[in-house]
Amino acid sequence: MRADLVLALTTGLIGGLGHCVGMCGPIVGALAISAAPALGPRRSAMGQLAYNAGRVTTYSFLGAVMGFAGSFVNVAGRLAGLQDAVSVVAGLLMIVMGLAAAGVAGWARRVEARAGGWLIAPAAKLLRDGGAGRFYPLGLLLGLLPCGLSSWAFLGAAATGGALPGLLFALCFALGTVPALLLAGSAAALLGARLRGALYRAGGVLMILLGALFAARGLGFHAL
Amino acid sequence: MRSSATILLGAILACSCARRAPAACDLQAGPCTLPAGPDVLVTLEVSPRPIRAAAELTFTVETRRGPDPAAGFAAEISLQMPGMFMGENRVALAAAGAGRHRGKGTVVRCGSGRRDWVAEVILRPTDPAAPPLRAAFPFTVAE
Repeated sequence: MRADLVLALTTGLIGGLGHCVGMCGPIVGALAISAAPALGPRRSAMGQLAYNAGRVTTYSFLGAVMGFAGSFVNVAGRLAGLQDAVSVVAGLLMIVMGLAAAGVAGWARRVEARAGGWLIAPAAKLLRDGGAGRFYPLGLLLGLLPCGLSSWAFLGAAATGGALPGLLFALCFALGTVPALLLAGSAAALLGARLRGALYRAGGVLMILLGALFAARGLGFHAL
Repeated sequence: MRSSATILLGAILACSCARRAPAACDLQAGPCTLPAGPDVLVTLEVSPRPIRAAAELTFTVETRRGPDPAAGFAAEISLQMPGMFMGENRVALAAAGAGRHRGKGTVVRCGSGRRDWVAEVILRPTDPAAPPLRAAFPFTVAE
């Protein structure tokens, strides 16, 4: 295996534990906690795999684009607005999941019907219905979240100067991050399946707060 | 036990910390100079200013021994965010005259909104037996 690909893989592995769990852990945790009661442990684990597969797909695609363009700065500049929008979407998703977990689903449905129906309704449907595979498109989307460590991978992909080597570099990095996020998601799913009553609702409130934080970051309120 | 821990902590700090720029020196305002060894001074300039994340930046390093350029080093810069693993972001610097090195690099944007970074200049003597010299310049990106 080439040295640069080993570097990408090990950076993903180390960064997965030291960076991704802290930055993206709340998202996979929220997904796992909200899905665990409906899906059960086995399908919940499949959901985690599907989410990560979606994320890996997006990273690989972006790596190929960066490598093809041969410039991180140009592509990242075009992506910045989209990434902020994804951060807002991720935050709103977490708020919707948190509202449901906190037991105020009726209020969430009213919001869904009125204010943010165009966004929240499909998101809520995605979370309520279907099997584990529904997490794949979510992973595709949330793979676009602004992230310093994945930017490192895209910087490396751009430096390869080709679509295929760029894709491989980002793919190795993305695969390296999977174990840590799978572990975080599985731990949260286990917790979600065991939490009952007030504790489960408290988890929902935490999801709402974290969702608000993600949305605020996407809107440029970085002091939060 | 407590004194052992203090000694261990002191040893870790002494070994791992490169020399840091005084708080008064701001790379956003202009070049900064730091000692990198007993008799070597390093000056780092980052341009264009203001220094922004996700932008192509030029890093220029000058090394001096007293009034003269200090030669005999290969130079590179490691960009790190304190307390947050952001991958090994190294900027390769090419020789650009006596005691002068220059290269291009990019500071990535952190999703959390943090903007504090450290540019650690690493000078590797041509004598492989000699240890590298280091100087760490903290800075804050404009966005």
